[in-house]
Amino acid sequence: MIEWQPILLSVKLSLATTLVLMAICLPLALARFYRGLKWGMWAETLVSLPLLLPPTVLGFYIMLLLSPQWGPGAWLEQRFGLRLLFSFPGIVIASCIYTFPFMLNPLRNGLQKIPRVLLEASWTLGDNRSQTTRRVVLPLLRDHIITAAVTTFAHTMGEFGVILMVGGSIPGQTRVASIYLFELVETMQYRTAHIYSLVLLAVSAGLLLLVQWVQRPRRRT
Amino acid sequence: MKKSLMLLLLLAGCSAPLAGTRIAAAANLGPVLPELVSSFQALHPGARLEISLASSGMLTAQILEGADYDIFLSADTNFPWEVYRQGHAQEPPFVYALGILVWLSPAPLQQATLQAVLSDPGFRQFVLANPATAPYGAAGLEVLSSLGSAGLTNQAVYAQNISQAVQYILTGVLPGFIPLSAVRTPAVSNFLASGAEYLIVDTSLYSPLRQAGVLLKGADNYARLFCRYLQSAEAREIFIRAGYRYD
Repeated sequence: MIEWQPILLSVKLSLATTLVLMAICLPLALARFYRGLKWGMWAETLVSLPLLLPPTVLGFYIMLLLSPQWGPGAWLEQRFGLRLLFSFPGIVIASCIYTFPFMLNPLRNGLQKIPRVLLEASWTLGDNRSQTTRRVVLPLLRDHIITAAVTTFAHTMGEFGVILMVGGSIPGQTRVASIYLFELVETMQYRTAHIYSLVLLAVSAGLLLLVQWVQRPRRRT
Repeated sequence: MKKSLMLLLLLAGCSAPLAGTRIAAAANLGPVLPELVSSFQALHPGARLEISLASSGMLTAQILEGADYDIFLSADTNFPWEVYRQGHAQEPPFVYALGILVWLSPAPLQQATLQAVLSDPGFRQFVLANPATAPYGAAGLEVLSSLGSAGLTNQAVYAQNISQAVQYILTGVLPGFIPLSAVRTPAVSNFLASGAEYLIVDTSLYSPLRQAGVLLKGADNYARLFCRYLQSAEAREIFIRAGYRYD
């Protein structure tokens, strides 16, 4: 008997993370792009830090950040009676911090490739900034948006260390596929563990294939 | 080229494995093992002991897959017996101590008994080590059903082992089941000083938490001596001070 709930939960977490990060990163990247601003050394370092920090370290500090004892965690608890540690919204926040560069970097790289002449042309033709975004920038950025979304989704599917720290393995809320897999191995249920690994592998491989397909070389018509 | 080769050899020399006695120990032993090890080393100055902590289930899985440990100290008796039955041990397991389960609450306890705490209408989440891998988690589960509160398991936050359970309690400000041995650590002592309280769970509410160890195949002489030392009067005294008991 195999429980599918953890995989469905992982999919839900990945979707939520992808949507939240898209809503944050796309406007952020666009805003800097229009102002022609380069990312400073500090910003550059900060946004890429989650790539290098061990997930357990990151998880530990996210845990302290969400702790109802002090800081933002205490404020949320007192003000709204909201507790994020060991809850689904809590692991969404943790995932967003951890996966941030996976969303931001492809968008930034994509924007850097757009020739500024196209923007200037659009403005000369009387389009304002939002029209330019809609008609020129977003269509050119399409492949990069898909890549960013898919890698964010895939990265979150495989997330383990951070969720182990802040999740608490609650069935249906924070016991995602990777945590469940860890527990299966710990309790020596290897058969189910193999099946779970295969499913996760298939999902990841499928998504990476999708990225390759989106980025395939094409002739412009 | 020659220089870099030399450097490589030098580095390789540095990372050569230490030929010590490797102990795989249940996470609840984290606080007490250093004292046991140093008192053992006072008797046997040549001994070098290295400790790896994890949940008993995790360590069992590693040992069954051929992990190179000399001694396995579990938080229960089933896992060491499983290791023995599958032919990874030199001799049958031995019991070295019995654990004591406590209920740790981040705030002063308003009720006198655990039953009253659990039946309080304001009772929210609590921390439990994964019952499938951590014997103290299984004991906590047993206590809940003994007290007729088995339904509370859907309010449990599951930790992977005892050290994580303690961490969840400290940062999450949640109550939960932990061993008495964990209460006697600096982190939890500070927590108690800031208003937390604990109560010792009635031992009749859960099956005795016999903790057994086993000498693994390929273990050296120091490993054998350490296993014998763990059953000595001196070691027992250290265990009792650290929050364990004997029948």
